[in-house]
This record gives sequence, C-alpha cells and structure tokens, in this order.
Amino acid sequence: MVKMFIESLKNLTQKPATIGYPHTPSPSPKDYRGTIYYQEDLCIFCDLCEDVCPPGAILFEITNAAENIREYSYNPYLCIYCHACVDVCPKADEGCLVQAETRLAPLGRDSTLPQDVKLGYFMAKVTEAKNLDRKWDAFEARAAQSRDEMAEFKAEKKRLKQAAMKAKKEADAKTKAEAEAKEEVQAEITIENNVETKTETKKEPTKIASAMPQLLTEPKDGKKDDLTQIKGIAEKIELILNEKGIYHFQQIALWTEENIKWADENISFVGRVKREKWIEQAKELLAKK
Amino acid sequence: MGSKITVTFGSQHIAIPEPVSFVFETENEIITKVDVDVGYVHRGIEQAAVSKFNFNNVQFLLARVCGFCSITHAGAYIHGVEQLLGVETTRRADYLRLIVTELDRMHSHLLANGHVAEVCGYENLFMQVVKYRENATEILEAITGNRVQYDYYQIGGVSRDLSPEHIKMINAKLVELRKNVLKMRDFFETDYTLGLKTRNVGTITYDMAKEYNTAGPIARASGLRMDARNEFDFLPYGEVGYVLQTRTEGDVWARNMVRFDEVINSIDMSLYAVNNLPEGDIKVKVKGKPKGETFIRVEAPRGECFYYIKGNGTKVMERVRVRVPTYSNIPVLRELFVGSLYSDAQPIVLSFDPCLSCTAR
Repeated sequence: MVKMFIESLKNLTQKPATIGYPHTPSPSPKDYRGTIYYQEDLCIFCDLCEDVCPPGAILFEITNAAENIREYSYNPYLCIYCHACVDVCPKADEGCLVQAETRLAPLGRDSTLPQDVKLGYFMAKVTEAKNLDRKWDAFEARAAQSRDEMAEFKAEKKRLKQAAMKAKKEADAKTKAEAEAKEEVQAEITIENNVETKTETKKEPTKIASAMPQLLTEPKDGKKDDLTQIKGIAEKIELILNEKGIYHFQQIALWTEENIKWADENISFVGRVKREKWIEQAKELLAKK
Repeated sequence: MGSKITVTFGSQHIAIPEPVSFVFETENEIITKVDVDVGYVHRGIEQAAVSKFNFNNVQFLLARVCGFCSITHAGAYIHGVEQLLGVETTRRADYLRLIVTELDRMHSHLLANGHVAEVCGYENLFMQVVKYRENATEILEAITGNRVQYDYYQIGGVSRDLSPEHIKMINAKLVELRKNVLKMRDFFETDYTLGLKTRNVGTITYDMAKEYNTAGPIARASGLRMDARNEFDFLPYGEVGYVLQTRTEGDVWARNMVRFDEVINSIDMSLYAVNNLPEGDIKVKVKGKPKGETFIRVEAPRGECFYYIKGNGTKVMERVRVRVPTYSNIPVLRELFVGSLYSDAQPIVLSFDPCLSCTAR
C-alpha cells in the first residue's frame, strides 16, 4: 500500500502519459495499415482484388460490355484494412494498389468526403456523406446487373459465333454435294457460278476483321523509339510489340480500326488500346519529335 | 434474517465491459441463487464462415470475433487449414507468429488484472497497469500495422517481416515492460487493501476446478496443470523457454498472480525469439483447397480455444466450429457465486476475464 502511495505521488509530478489530442496530433506509426489507393493506368483488370476482398469494398462495374471497359470503385468506409487486396495484386509493386499509412477520418453525417481520383469512380461521383450506405447498396446492385449484362453479351456472342460456324458448315456441305452432283451430271453451269459468288462475298468480312498493321523486321535506321513513353505501355508490352515488329510511334499512329482489333487479339487485353488512347498519344509524341 | 431480494447484475453494468446478465437472489448480502445469460452478442459468425466467405478469407472474419483474442482465433483456424492442405511453414514464420501471439497475451492479461483492481475501487492501480501495458500494444502496432486487428497470420506464413529497427525497438520496450510488470506484480502481491478484496475471495479448489472443467489461468490458479501450449507444437514453445505457471490458492488473488507470472514468461519467450530469429522466408506458397476434417486446440489468453473445421474440397468450408475458454468457465463461475457476498461479485467476474463476444459469437 505504501509503495503504491509513493508511486502515485511520483506520478503527480510527472508529465502525463497521454497525448493532448486533438490539440496535438495523434502519432502516425510507420507501416500503418490505412486507406487503399488505386492507379487505373497500371491496372490489368484481373479482378483478383475484387474476388479476395472480405467485406466486398472493392467492386468493378462494367460500363461497356462490347469493349470490356471496367471501372474500379472502392468504399473506404466498408474497408476493414486487412491488406488482402494489396497482397494479391500482381502489379502492387509498380503501384497499382497501394496501402497508405493513414486512414480517412470516420464518416459523420456532415463530414466532407475526400475527393481523390485514386479512391475510384464511386467516391468521385458521391459528394454528400448523407446516405452513403444506401448509395453504395444501389451501386452494388448496379455492378451486379452489369455483370449479368456482360454474361448475357458473352453468351449472345458465343451463340452468334456457333450459328455462323453452323451456317458455314452447312454451306460447305452444300457446295460439296453440289460439286459432286456437278461431277456426276456435268451440267447446269449457271448454278455453280452462283455458289462461287456467294462463298466469295462471305469470306471477305472475316478477312477485314483483324488486318495486320504495317510491321517491320528491324527498326528503321537501326534505332527504335522508346514506346514506354506512351501511358499504358510498360516494358513487358514494349517487348511484345518489338517482337511483333512494331518499333516506332509512327507505326502506332497510323493504326486503323482493323489494326486495333488485330492488336487486341495479339498483344494486349481487349479494349486497352482505345481506353488508354495509344494512337492519340503516339501522334502527340510523334509531333513532339 | 431479511427477506429475499433479486438483484440484476448486467446485461449492462459499469463493472463488466461486455454484455452478460446475472440475476442474483440475495439474502441480506449473501447470494443464494444465480441465473446467467451469455447470449447477448450473437452475430452468427459460424454460419457466415461457411456461407459468405471463401476459405482463404475466413481468418479475417474470425479475427473479428473478439478484439483481444483476434490473433488466437485467426491462428487456430489457419493451423487447421494448413493441416488439411499439408503445408509446412518455415521456422522464421513460426517464430514471428509466436512473438505476436505472446504479445497479444501480455496486453490481454495486463488489462484483465487492471480491471480487477478497478472494480475493487483501486482506479489508481488500474491506470498504472494500462500505462505500462501501452508498451506491448505499441510493439504490436509497429509490427503488424494495427493496434487491435493484427491480420498477421496468413495461410502459409505471416504478412510482414521484422526489420532490424523493429528488433531494436522490441528489445528496448520489452525490457522496460518486464521491469514495470515486476513492479506491478509486487503491488498486487503485497498491497494490503487490494488483498482484503482479493485474498480468499471466490476460491476454486483443485477438485472443483477439475470437476467443472475449467480452463486457462483459472484452472492453473487452482493448481491444475493444463495448458494447450504445453501439449501441442503448432508454435515452437519448447525452444523458447516456456514454463507452465501454476498457483495453488485458487482465489482472485492467485488468478492475478498466475497472469503476471505468465506475462513475465511471455516477455522472456518473446525476447528469446526476437534475438534468435531463424533465417528464411516468412511465407510458403500454398496450393489446393482444404479437404477433410481436423480439430485444433490452442491456448488463448483466457484458456484453451477449440476449433473444429471441415472442408469438402470446394472454395467454402463445410463447418467451422468454435468453442472458447469462457464458455467452459461459466459453470464454475455460477457455482462460485452461491454463498459469497454480493460486493465480491464484481472482482470474481472480472478475475475470470470473461470474453462474451467470443462466447456468443
């Protein structure tokens, strides 16, 4: 009892062990697990972070099913700051998903919301703190619907493809049978002519769908442009482009719609060339040069 | 003799930090009958673990069962999944897990002891304990990135490594904490007024402890030699100098003493582990999905925590069953109240360090 009494008297003369928050700021320790920040131009849209997030605070909404364009959204007030998304992100080292060392202030009814592009599309659109939960619920439903639409679109595409295959097969069988018949009978040349013109018209669009752009076997004058200056092209993609035979900004600047389709199929993820505006960037860089 | 009076203690009471309800029937000051209800914070976590979450996410959910045992719950689940997947973790990961688990035990035990002092009316001592406890929580915050939800265990290893600065900081803070805990133990051991409230209060005899199947520091304070750390080698306790701590008195005072002894032992173990960290990776790659069933027993700060998990080869577990130490300590607590003074009820409850969030889940 006496010992504790002496200790208490000592404490009276000591500085307080607590800090004078809010007059003095709370110390922020190093490597604290805080808010998640995102950079769209580094994202490869693998959706791993969305799959792993335990509370479902990260969602991708598909805004354009035909070109597979996705928008990242994040709710910092639903996040449990567990670090799982950053662990799973294949581009985390480059800065696609980063965990900051501070957290956002807790959500109050009248608090001002952070306006940061790196927090994703949802937080950029929402301005009022009021009913944030309800807005997020509505957004969740919208994102789920966009998933369904995407699935429908894919199924439709598959169905069309299968139908085209079937039609082609039938047409082939027909021409074969007719050819056989022709051999046997050796007559009615007019019908055969008709069939030939039909098949020719059919083949043409498939050819145009993905035309190869102008490719080189080696760089002009032996000196290639630094393609990584285009936002969205990292070193790895540059290597692939070089392998295919693309070395200069001029080559990319001259791409047509068909060339872009070819690039989508052969080089990168679908829709990337358009989304990141490679051609416009290449033109600008070419003008600077 | 006066007539019988019914006194409610909880579900919200200033002495107990969590919702638990006791209804005492008293005759004068003596409690003659008691009813207990522990199910106030049921959140359906076991069901959520097998329906809403993939097996590699369940540890985040289970860590949020309770703030104090968060590392134990996540740890028990991950030991189980690793058993089912056949994963061997590296020795460095085992050591790091041990350090964080023991730091968690330290701050949990210190707060429990502080609470006993507080409900005895000794708020001064409570503040003193919490002031010293800050060292342990600061280390945890620095090495895991958060004060309460560590999320340190991952399937196959741990989430972060220790840097040389961390080791330096841990050494300095733990040495200071050890000095302060020894001082604290001395206060608790020799303080006369605190002794009046804690010595020979709520005594559990050896036979009683055995019969009512108590767990953790409560059992060890009655001389029962049981500790899951002693029986299983999920973590390398044998290598770092683990010693089983027991007392024989069985009262509130002995429970406090066992906790202090364990904190000292935990500090020694952590200091050894930090300074003898094996080299190697902190994480191994894991493939596959859990299939089969297993059970895990680990020592939470409050006693033995039991996990039964069953996987069926899909992404979602088939069953996750949690049985926590407080649940097995409730029957003896109920028995203990009968015949004791009403004014002793608060120290008795708090000396059990009840965790109702764990119990109800």
